[in-house]
Amino acid sequence: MAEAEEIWVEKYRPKKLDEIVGQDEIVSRLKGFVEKKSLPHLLFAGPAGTGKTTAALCIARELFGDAWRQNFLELNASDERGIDTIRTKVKDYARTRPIGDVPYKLILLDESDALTPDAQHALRRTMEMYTHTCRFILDCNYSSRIIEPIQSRCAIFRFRKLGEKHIAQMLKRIARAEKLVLTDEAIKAIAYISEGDMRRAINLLQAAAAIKKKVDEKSVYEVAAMARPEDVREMLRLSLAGKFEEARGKLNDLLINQGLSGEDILEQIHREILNLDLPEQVKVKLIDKVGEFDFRLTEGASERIQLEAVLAHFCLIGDRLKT
Amino acid sequence: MTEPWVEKYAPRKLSEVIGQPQAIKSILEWADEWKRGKPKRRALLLYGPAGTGKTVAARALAREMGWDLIELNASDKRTFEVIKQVAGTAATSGTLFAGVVGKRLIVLDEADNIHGTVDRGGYRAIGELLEQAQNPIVLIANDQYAIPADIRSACFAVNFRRLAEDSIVKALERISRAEGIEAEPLALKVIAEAARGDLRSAINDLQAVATGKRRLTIKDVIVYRRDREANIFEVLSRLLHATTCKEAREILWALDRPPDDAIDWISENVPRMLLEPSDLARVYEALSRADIFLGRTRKRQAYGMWGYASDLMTCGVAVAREGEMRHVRFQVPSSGLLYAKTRGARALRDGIAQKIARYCHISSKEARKYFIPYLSIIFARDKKTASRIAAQLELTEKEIDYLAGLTTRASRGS
Repeated sequence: MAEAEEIWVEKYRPKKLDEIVGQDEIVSRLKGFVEKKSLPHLLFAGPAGTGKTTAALCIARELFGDAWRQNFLELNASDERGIDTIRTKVKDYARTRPIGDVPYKLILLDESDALTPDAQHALRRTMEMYTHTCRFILDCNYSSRIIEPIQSRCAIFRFRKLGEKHIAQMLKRIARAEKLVLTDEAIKAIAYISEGDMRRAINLLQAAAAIKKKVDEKSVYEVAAMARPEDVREMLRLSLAGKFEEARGKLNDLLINQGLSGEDILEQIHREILNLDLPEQVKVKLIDKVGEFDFRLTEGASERIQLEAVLAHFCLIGDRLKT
Repeated sequence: MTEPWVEKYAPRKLSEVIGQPQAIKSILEWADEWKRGKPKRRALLLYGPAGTGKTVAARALAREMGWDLIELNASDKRTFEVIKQVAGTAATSGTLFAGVVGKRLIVLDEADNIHGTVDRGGYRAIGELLEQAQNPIVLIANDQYAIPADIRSACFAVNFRRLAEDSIVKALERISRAEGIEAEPLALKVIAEAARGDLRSAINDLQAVATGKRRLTIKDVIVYRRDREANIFEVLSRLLHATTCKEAREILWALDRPPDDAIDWISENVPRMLLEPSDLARVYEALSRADIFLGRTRKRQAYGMWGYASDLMTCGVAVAREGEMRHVRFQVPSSGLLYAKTRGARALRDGIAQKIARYCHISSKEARKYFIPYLSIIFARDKKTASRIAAQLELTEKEIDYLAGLTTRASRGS
C-alpha cells in the first residue's frame, strides 16, 4: 500500500485541506468543522477538477488519521446500479461502529446529481436513517439538480473553476518534483486547454512529459491533439461540404470504435459550432437545432439515427451557404 | 400449413444436438450437479450466435432430466413477476402443483435484451433470482458481454459456436432423406455455405426451396436466393418512388421486417440515393421522428406506437424526397456489423476504465473521457512509466496492448 503513486493526479493530490489551491474560503470553513470534529452533511457543487473529491478525502484523512480508509466509503452514483444498490451499500457500511475516537463515519457520494429526483428522495430517507452514525458528502456539478429537502439538510459549498494562476501553481510544483523543464508558454497552453479542470491539466502534463522531459507550448498542443483527435470537427467539416457519407463514417467511428456516447458527441458538436467559419446568425440557429436533437436523443431508440439527422442538417446549411 | 422443419427435426436428446460436443459435455456436467443437490452456480448461461442450438439444447435438457420446462422471454417486462413466482423463494418446496415431484427448468431467452436496462431493474431481478433460486435456470443470449459481469460470473457459461459447414450439410442431408427428397450435394452445400454457421436458417432455407419437390438442384437454390435478396433492395428503391402514403406504407409490409430493423435498412441506403441536401435533411427529419416513436415503443412497451414509427419511416421518407435520385448499390446496414466486430475491444476499454475509476476516485465514464486518452499516450511513448502504471492499476497484458495501440492507431488514421 505504501507503493509510490504513478498516476500524477493521485501522486500530487493534496493530502491536507491546506494544500488545496484556489478554494481558500471553502478550505477555511471546512477546517473549522474538522477542528471541532463536528461535521454537518455536506453538499459540494462545482465543475469537474476543482477539488471536490480531494476536499472530501482530506476531511477523512484529517478526521480519522490512519484509520481513514475504514471510516470512509466512496460511491459513484453513475457507476452504481441504481438507488437500491446505493442503499444496500450504505446500510451494510453504516451498521458497524466507526473506528477511533470519532462518533461517525463518512460517506462520499460522487456525481449525486446523476440520481433521478425519485432516487434522491430515497437517498434522503437513507441519510435520515443513519444520521447518528454517518455523515454524507454529496458531490455534484449543479446544486440546483439536487432536490430541496437534501439541500436544506446540507451545508452547501460551491467550488469555483480554477484560474490560470492556480493551475500554474500546481503544475510548477509537479515540474519541480519530477525534474521537468516547463516553459511559461506551456503552462498557459495547458491552462487554456484544460479549462480550469485540474485533473485534465495534470493528465495533459504527464502525457507531454512522457514524450519528452522539456515540455513547451508545441508539445502541449501536440499531446492535446493526440488525446482528442479532431474527429468531431472533421465530421462537421465534411457535413458542411456536403459529404454526408464520409461524415457518417466518422460518426460510426466515434460511436463504435471510440465509444463516445451520443451525448458526448453532441456536447462536442455544441462546443465546436462557435469555432466554425460560419455567419453568426447561422451558428445560433445550429445551436438551437443541435439542442433539439439532444432532446430527441433522450426520447428516441437509436442515437445513431438522431446524430445522422444532425449531420444531414449540417449538410443542408452548408449547401445554403454556398449559393 | 406444414410443420416447420426446424421443429419437426429438432433434437429430442442432448446427444442429438449437432456440432456442439464441447457445449453438450459442459451442460451435462452442470445437470449432474443438480442430481446431487444444488450446484454453486444455479444458472446456466448458453451464449453464441443465432441458430447454433442453444434453445433446442435447453429443451432437450429438460426432457432428459425429467424437469418441467418453463420458457420465458426476458425482454418482456411482465416476465419478472412471473419468474419470481416460479423460480423464487415461493417455490422452495419444489413445485407449484401438488403431486408433481421434481424440478422446473426456467429458460430465459434473450437474456442479453432485458427490459428496463435504463435503471437496470431487469438485471437486478435476475441477480436476486440467481441467488435465491431453488430451481435450475438457463439464460440464453447471443452476446455474453451484454450481460452485466456480476450476473455472468454467477452463471455456468457455455459457448455455442457457429456450426461447421460439413455439420450443416450432414443435417440437411438427413432431413432431405426423411422428407423423401433427392438433393444434389452441391445444392445443399450452397445452402449451408450461405447460412454461415446458423443451422436454423439453413433448415428454413431448405424447407423454403425444397417443399413439394422430389428433386432439389443447385439451380433451384440460386434462383431462390436471388429472389430473397432482391426483395429487400427492390422494396427500398420502390419506397422512394412511391407517390402516395398508402403506397409507401404497403412497402414496409413487403419488406417483412419489424420497424426497428427496417429503419436501419432505410437509413443505410436511402440517404445515399439522394442528391439534394434539402431532401436529405427532410428525409432525416422523418427518420428522426420515426425513431422517437420507436423509443417510446421500447421504453413503455407501447407497441401501438409502432404504427406511427412505420408510417414516418415510409410515408414520411417517400414524400420528403422532391429532387432527383441516383442509383446506388444497396448495402446491408453497416453499424450492426461494426458493433459486432469491435465488441471485444469495447469490453476491454470498459474494463480498463473501471480499474482507473476505482483508483482515481471518478466514474468509469470520466475515466474513459479524461484518463484513457492521456494514458494511451504514455503507454505508447514511455514504456517505463507505462509498466509502473500498469502494475499499479493491475492491468492485464491485453489491456496494456490496447492502451499502447490506441494512440498509434489514432495518429495513423488522421
